[in-house]
Amino acid sequence: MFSCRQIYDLITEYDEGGLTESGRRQFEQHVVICPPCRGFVSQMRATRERLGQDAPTFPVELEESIVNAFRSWKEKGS
Amino acid sequence: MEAAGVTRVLDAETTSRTTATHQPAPDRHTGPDERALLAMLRAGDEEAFRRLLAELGPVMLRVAGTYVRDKQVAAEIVQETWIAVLGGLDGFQGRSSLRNWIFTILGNCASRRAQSETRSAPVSSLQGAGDDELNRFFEANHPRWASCWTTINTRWDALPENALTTAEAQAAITEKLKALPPTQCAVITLRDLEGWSSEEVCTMLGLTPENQRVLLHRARLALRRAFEEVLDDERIAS
Repeated sequence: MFSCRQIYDLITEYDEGGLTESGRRQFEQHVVICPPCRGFVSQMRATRERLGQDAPTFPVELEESIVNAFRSWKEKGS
Repeated sequence: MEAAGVTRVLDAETTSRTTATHQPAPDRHTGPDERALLAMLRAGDEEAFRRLLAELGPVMLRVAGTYVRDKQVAAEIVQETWIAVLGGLDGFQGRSSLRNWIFTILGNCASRRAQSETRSAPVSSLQGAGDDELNRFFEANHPRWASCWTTINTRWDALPENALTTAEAQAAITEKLKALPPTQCAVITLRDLEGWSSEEVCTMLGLTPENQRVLLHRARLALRRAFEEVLDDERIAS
């Protein structure tokens, strides 16, 4: 069975579906019975979810200046 | 017969797992509407251009921000990219998808700017915020707790809803991303903030899948650590 250290090293590989079937089973068997690893796994999940909520922003001035570039490109073309 | 059935079930499971973790790519590939979009752009349809800009602009800015530290420079890269896109639009052959082509141009502009910036970049920004968390484990030869955690690791799925959306947590994201080595920052930004698939990230950054995964792993560990520090501070303060 995996050690806690291995869970720490392999969690992304597990999440990415990169482990073999037996590796995946060993991973899950360890996490089920190990409270600190369950905590760690939940922390990594929460981290990913939080990052996914981080909305990107786009400054209005930048948008306008790019749209202006589009307009002058259009004028040049026609 | 039965053994074959079991294997099939497991295969199906593995497949669905893989697709589940690779977030569905929003319409970033050659869609059926791409030819129409291209025609509209070439005809100077400003609405179509604005829609494309609204779709890609924020991601492009984020990607540019992973190459250079200065926000203003990142904005300039995005602007330069669009100008180059417009310049090449009429000659665009459609050998790759329009969006892929735009991101290739972005990558080229950004690396050029990053190279000229490197000399002035502070050394600390190039050093890794590595996973120096080995002290969280007992030694591998420990008689009883070999390679076990020395810490308790509270579960975060039971946290109050807003625990990670505080101003402190937001600042921690920004600061930690900036402190990561640039490629780690690019990988986690695209994967976890933007929801790109690993294949898309590998193509964009020219990484092997193995490398991409290692970089993602280190970056996620670093961000987890940053959130942990924020939560610890809050606990001490309360």
